[in-house]
This record gives sequence, C-alpha cells and structure tokens, in this order.
Amino acid sequence: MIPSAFRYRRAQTVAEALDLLRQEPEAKLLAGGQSLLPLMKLRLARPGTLVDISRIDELRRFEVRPDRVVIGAMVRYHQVLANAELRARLPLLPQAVAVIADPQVRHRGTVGGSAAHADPASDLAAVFLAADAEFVLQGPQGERRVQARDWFLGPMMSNLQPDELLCRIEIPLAWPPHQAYLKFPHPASGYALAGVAALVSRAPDGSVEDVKVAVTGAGQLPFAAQGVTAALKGQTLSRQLMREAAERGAADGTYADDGPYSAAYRQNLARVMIERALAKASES
Amino acid sequence: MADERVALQLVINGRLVRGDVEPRTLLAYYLRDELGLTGTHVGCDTSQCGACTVLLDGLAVKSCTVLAVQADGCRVTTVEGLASGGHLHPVQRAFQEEHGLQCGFCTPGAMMLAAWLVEQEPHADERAIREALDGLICRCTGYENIVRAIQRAQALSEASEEPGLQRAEGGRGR
Ligand SMILES: Cc1cc2nc3c(=O)[nH]c(=O)nc-3n(C[C@H](O)[C@H](O)[C@H](O)COP(=O)(O)OP(=O)(O)OC[C@H]3O[C@@H](n4cnc5c(N)ncnc54)[C@H](O)[C@@H]3O)c2cc1C
Ligand code: FES
Ligand code: FES
Repeated sequence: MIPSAFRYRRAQTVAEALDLLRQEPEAKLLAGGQSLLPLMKLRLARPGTLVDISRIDELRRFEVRPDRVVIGAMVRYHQVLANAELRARLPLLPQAVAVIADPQVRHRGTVGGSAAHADPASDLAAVFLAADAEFVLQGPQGERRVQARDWFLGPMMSNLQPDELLCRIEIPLAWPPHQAYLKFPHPASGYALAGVAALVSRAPDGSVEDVKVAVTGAGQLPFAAQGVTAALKGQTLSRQLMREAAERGAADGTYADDGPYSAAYRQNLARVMIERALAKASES
Repeated sequence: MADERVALQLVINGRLVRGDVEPRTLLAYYLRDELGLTGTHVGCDTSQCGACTVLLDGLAVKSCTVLAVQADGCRVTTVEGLASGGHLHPVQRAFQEEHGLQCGFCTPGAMMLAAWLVEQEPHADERAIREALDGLICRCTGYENIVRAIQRAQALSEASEEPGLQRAEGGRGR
C-alpha cells in the first residue's frame, strides 16, 4: 500500500519546521511515523507536505534533573527504556513504554508523537495525566505551556494547533517510586482496553499521604481518576478501601458502547485495573 | 508534486548506495523494487506482522513503515547482509539447525529481529525472547522452534570466532 504523493522537507531547527508548517500546503509533521505512515498508507491521511522533524537536535534532548525529567518530543521509546536514571526516579514511564507495541515500533515511535497523536488508548496518556506532565509548544506566537489535564480535548485531538510544534514534555519528579502502570491489552490490536497509571506516596505511619491515578483506553477520553485520591488520602490502605476507591475512580470516566465491549464492561474493566494498579504501586 | 524526487544516500549491507526516490516510497519497496533485494518480505503491509523487518542503524524496524527518505544517511542491513565471506551468520545457522522455519515467509523478518536481539541482549532469557517476538507474526511454527533457534544463536554467537553482525558489516563507508 502506497501513500498518496506528497512533498518531503527535512527541518534542521524548530524555527525552520514552523516556517515550513506555515508555508507548505497541508503540511504535517513527521516524527517516528508509526501512527502517521499507517494512516497515510490507508489514505486516511493525505498531507501535501511532510516536514520531517527527526533530525532537529533540540527535540532529542533528554535530561533527568533533580526536580523534573525533560523529554524532547523526538525521544524514541527505546531511548526511554535505556535510561537507567529514569528507571530509578520515574519507573512509571518506562513501565508504560515497555508495553507499547513491539520492539520494532519502539525503535521508531516517539514520546512527542504519541502525545501529539492523542489516541485515547495510548499508554502514555495515563502517565502524562497521573504524573502532571507539562507540554511545551512553539508556534508563530512563541512558546506556550499546556498542563496534561488540558491536553486531551477529544479522540485523536490534542491541544496542539495546526501551526504549532510540540518541543518537549516536562514531568515533575514529585513522587516516591511507589508507581505502577498496568495494561489490559486488546487481544488483537495490543492497544489498552484499560491502562492504569498509579502513583502512591506514604506518610511515615504508613497511611496514604497522596495518591494519583489515571486511566487510558477504557473511557472515551483518558482521564484522571480523582475519586481514588478523594477516597484514599490520609487513609490506611486495605483491600476493602482500595476496592471502594477503584469503584469511585472508575466512575470519573465517560464510557461508550464499542463493538463487543459495552460501556458497562469498560467501566468494570477500569475498576478492576485501578484496583490492581493501586495494589501493585503500594507494594512496590 | 507527484514528480518530486528526493536524493538519498545510504549504506546497505555495507555497500554505499546513491539514488533518488519519490518521497512516498517505503523502505521495503525501495529495497525490493529499486535495489532487487527481495529477501525482505512484505506480509501485511499494515505494520503488524514484522516480515519486513530490517536493521536501521542496527535497530530492528518495520521497513513497510519507514520511508526510504527517512533512512537517508543511515545504515540498513537486510537478510541478504547477514552472511559474510561465505559464512552464515550465527542466527542463520541456528534457524537451520533448530528448524526455526516452515514456509519461510516470515523468516527474513524473524532472523533480522533475532539478529538485533542477540546483538543487543545476548543473554535474553526465554521470556524476553518471547516478548521480543511480539514483533513477528508466524503462521506456521507456533514460535517454539523460533525461540529455540534464538537461544541457539545466542550460544553460537558467544562461542563462535566467526564474525558477528558488527564485523560482518565492517568496512562500510560511514
Ligand atoms: C503495530 C503498532 C502497534 C502500536 N501499539 C501501540 C500501543 O500498544 N500503545 C500505544 O500507546 N501506541 C501504540 N502504537 C502507536 C505508537 O505509539 C506511535 O508511535 C505513536 O502513537 C506516534 O509516535 P510517532 O513518533 O511514530 O509519530 P508520527 O506517526 O510521526 O506522528 C503522529 C502524529 O503526531 C504529529 N506529531 C508528531 N510529532 C509532533 C510534534 N513534535 N509536534 C506536533 N505534532 C507532532 C504528526 O504530525 C502526526 O499527526 C502502535 C503503533 C503500531 C504501528
Ligand atoms: S509487512 Fe511490514 S509489518 Fe507486515
Ligand atoms: S514460517 Fe511460515 S509464517 Fe513463519
């Protein structure tokens, strides 16, 4: 299968990419191509020009700082997996990346491409929401910062404007390493039917100081399960309490019937996976 | 627009190749149709099956989901580049010895994925091997013999004095 014809431009800098986006007819950015090229082959996307951003050095920055991790949009999944410091400081992220697709896709796909594509079942969506990621964009008007809670506007629709480029994602390192990402994959596609990211911090007496959970795949949009935080903050964890919290957290999503998977099934799956992710994170 | 062609230069199986392509040309088709390297198979053509796997700068990728222009300036290794100097690559010997194939359609992709894994993670255990095989659909073998072949390739690579992939690729231009 062959995409329809397009022009190819390779940008060396962010400024050049923005210029090309503005000047070229129906231009689209090309990162790892693992979502865009399959769509183009099916002719579900027919950009007039592809602007290849893979060689822009600025977008390949990847730093674990004392207070935050800075991930350039072009950082590829396999590079996330290879970062030992990140594994120690934000294990949630490599845990999620490890269950995205297969080795070949992880060699090409990028963190920024996943964010920009905004697939409501993307694994990283749950990580971005749970860990309060911040998206740093460049556009004709300059820099803009968007919080994760304002990122996912609709299925395949992020807060990015067509003339903007996502430069990097910053994730605060505010949580102890009690973290877990658990995925219930669709048996055929491997995408998350429910994927849950959970972060737990415990007070010295063992009670829950804070907890944050987000869910991808199950709902119409990825969502933060705030009910979990409300149910568990200040409490001493027990099986029963985690079950109740999961119930309340799953209720924060909006679900729809989809083929063989009814809305009720999806909400139940979210509940079960939240409970398991909480148990795993608090044991870690 | 349809007429635009883009120049590219890449090192394929250690040989410098210069050419020009329509931007929409996928790497799999460039290799097969323009260069006659038909060892790389196209199975699903929808990024699912891994039959088209080649190494791009040493990393396994699905060549049906990479544009030839994206590989400009890179090293590409296809199944034709595994053997060197008349010697089969340890992965090829292992697939032969362990009967890691039946119809052979997925085998070029299977061997390239295996070559990457053996190089990257020489001590991958059975579980890690099976996880990596997530990137390959084989309709024949049930994977058992492919797993065994990869385990044997690990042993052969470790024991062998013969050139591995790194050295087999040696002498390339960049
Ligand atoms: C077989 C297969 C299985 C998969 N399984 C999973 C899975 O289990 N879980 C999962 O989460 N994902 C999965 N994916 C999708 C994968 O994660 C994609 O790599 C990712 O969604 C897109 O990243 P990319 O770099 O390839 O982006 P591209 O395909 O290059 O781009 C995607 C979109 O984002 C835009 N874009 C890219 N970068 C930027 C930027 N910096 N600024 C602005 N816009 C930008 C592009 O214009 C395009 O519209 C799978 C893909 C395949 C092929
Ligand atoms: S032909 Fe490329 S993945 Fe199937
Ligand atoms: S050997 Fe026939 S598909 Fe794998």
